[in-house]
Amino acid sequence: MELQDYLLVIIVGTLTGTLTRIVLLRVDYHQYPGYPHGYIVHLSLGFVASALGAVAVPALMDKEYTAFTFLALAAQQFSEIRNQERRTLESLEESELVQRGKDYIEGIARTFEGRNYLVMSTAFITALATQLGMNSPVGWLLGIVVGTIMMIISRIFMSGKTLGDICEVRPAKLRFEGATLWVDDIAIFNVGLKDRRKKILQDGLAVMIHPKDDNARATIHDMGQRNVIAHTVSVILGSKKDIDIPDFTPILRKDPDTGKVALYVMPVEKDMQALIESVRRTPVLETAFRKPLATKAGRAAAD
Amino acid sequence: MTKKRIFAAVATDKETVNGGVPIFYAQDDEQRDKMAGTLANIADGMVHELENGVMIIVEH
Repeated sequence: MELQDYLLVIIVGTLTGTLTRIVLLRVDYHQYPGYPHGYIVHLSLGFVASALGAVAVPALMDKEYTAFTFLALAAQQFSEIRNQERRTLESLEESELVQRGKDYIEGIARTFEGRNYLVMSTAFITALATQLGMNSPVGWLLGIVVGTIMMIISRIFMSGKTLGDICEVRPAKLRFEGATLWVDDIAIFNVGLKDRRKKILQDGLAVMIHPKDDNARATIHDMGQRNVIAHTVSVILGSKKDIDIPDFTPILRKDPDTGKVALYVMPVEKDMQALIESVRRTPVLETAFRKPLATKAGRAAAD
Repeated sequence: MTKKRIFAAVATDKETVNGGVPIFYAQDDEQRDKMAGTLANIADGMVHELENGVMIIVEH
């Protein structure tokens, strides 16, 4: 095997891996990362991960099996990335008015770690396909084809569920009974000041989140998941909350009997359609996603 | 879970509240609402009404 051929294998593998990282890196409803240096950090790490994956193929071809052990080193690096992400987000959290919550931070950190493994395996498989292609009449273009397929698979594989997949979101009405704020038939909290009550009725919005099945009910039962909804909505529509106006904090409370969850917000943009859309697009946390219906007892309890 | 603490109570009727928190007495309901609002601003807290005319300021 010529050195040049190996170079081609490594380049195709690394490029596909890096491209995959770029495809997976976009500002969405997670709203993270949202600044140029965040991009640079993740793109560079993606590049390193794909280079490691791609280089493994020539090492194998030269029967340098011990070289494979450096993949273990890479794995250690990636778990360090998870820690670094967690630390960054946790230190940002202190100054957030509507916080992401620990569960969400853990989810984001884990995603970033996972994506690096994904990038590394994409690079490895692409490099392998390029190598096999060069040994056959197809040529190195086989690598490009496999690389594209891998990229599409990563894109589908790594886009998690959103709340709209598991729940129905419907408009709801805010009202006061004495000092207690209600969203339809769920009590939210007690507001003492009369002008605050007036303001809430005037500018506030509310939706009711109906779980489609028992799995969904268990998922929105999770406080971490509810935090994510409050955070997402506040980022997309804005929040009138300030440090001295805790009354305007978005709040989610569930109906203990049916498991439906009421959301109350004081958005800057009062737009019901946008509110429903941002609740529906809220990512479902991997840690909150429960499947009681996958168990026998859960199914028995459901009917 | 977040810790909650009652920061102060505001009332018009001296019979309705006494005990371990700072208590402020107002002359009428209007003054009570105003005092509660100001206290809440100072403490970054929230005003809650216990349906008997007593208002409490809670730090959330």
